[in-house]
Amino acid sequence: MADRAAPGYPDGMEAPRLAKLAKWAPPLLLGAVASVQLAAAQLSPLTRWRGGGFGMYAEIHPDARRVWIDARPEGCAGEAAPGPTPTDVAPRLHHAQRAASRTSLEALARSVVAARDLSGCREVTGELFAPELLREPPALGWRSLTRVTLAVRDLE
Amino acid sequence: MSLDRWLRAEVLVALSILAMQPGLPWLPFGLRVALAIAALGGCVLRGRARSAAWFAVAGALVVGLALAPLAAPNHHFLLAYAALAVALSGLLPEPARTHALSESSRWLLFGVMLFATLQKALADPYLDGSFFHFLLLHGGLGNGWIEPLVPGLAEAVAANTTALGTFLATQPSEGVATALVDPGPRVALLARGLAWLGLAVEAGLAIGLGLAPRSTGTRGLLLAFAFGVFALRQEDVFLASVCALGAATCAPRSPGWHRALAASTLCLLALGALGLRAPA
Repeated sequence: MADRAAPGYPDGMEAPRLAKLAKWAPPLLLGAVASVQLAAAQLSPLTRWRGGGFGMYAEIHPDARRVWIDARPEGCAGEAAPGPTPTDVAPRLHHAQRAASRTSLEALARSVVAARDLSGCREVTGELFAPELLREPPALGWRSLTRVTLAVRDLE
Repeated sequence: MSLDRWLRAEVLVALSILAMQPGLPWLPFGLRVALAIAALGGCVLRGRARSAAWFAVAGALVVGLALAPLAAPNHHFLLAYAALAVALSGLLPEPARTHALSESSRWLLFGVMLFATLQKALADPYLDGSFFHFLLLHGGLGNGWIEPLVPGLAEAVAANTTALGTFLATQPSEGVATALVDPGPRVALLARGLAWLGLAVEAGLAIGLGLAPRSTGTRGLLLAFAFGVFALRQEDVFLASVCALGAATCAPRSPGWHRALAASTLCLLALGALGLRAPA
């Protein structure tokens, strides 16, 4: 029979129950989060390096994944030179690097276009990812004014 | 004031949390400040105030991780769990507090090693050695130590660094790739050996922590893991966190191992703070 309100314990808390909570809650939380992350990394392009699954050093780091986003008005023949990633695009970029998917890529492309003046032939490059994308080469459509293509290069 | 008082698990965890501050751009500034203040409070306060401080530490980390789960590295999750363990155990009177923290730390480390093993066992680029092969040729896996042992590796890394810089600075074309210079089959063999050694050590730690957490073998392997990985990669905060939790598993029955792991925690944090890391 558990002792209620044992000396030193919060009022109304059964001592063994609190001790069990202290012992098991953190590891069970770790196990739950890591299990979800492991399943997601197996079933989707989520990187093993992020999300609490402790899969670091199991695969290439997401920051080493690179894709160039070349966004310019349709018909523009000028070449786009690599340039710095716009500051306001960085959060989308980081998310797309870690969870490579068509959805995250489209969100990134939209943020690049929104952040840049595409009235000329300048721009735009952002560096990105992703071996996973080689399985399904992305060719994103964008508004009629703008064509967004992604040139994927990977070290082989 | 005794030395052991300053080698308590919560102090070691707090120091690890403070050491990870430069790696916290994913955490909103207000939470970063609250986290640092609460971690300091967790070291110096007493009684319920200390417990409240640790709940604040755990809360700041859990909220931050929930807001940006893909931005934080895995060891930040580990420190959040460690903070929660310290906070919850702080509600207990002694000796239940020390016992609960010791057991919680043991199972946290077990979970880390179990999932690290599973993730690697399920990743083809790890098992076939290609990930470590890439790191060795790219210059990111203790090359300062390894390059002199493998003829031609230093020259290959230098050539690859130059080629990569050129490659990344040029106009991209669809389908164009560049190959890394590889000095021979020894590098691939070394990469595969390192990969399987790493898998064996992490699996061994998971088994040891699950079945014989207080054995000399498990604790010795934990220390070897910490300093072995430190010699290869700049992972001082993660490895210090592992040692801090390892120290917590030793209290109060193995004071010698507790001091060894606590001292290792401080050593790793000091080396990291001084920039004395594995030569890349």
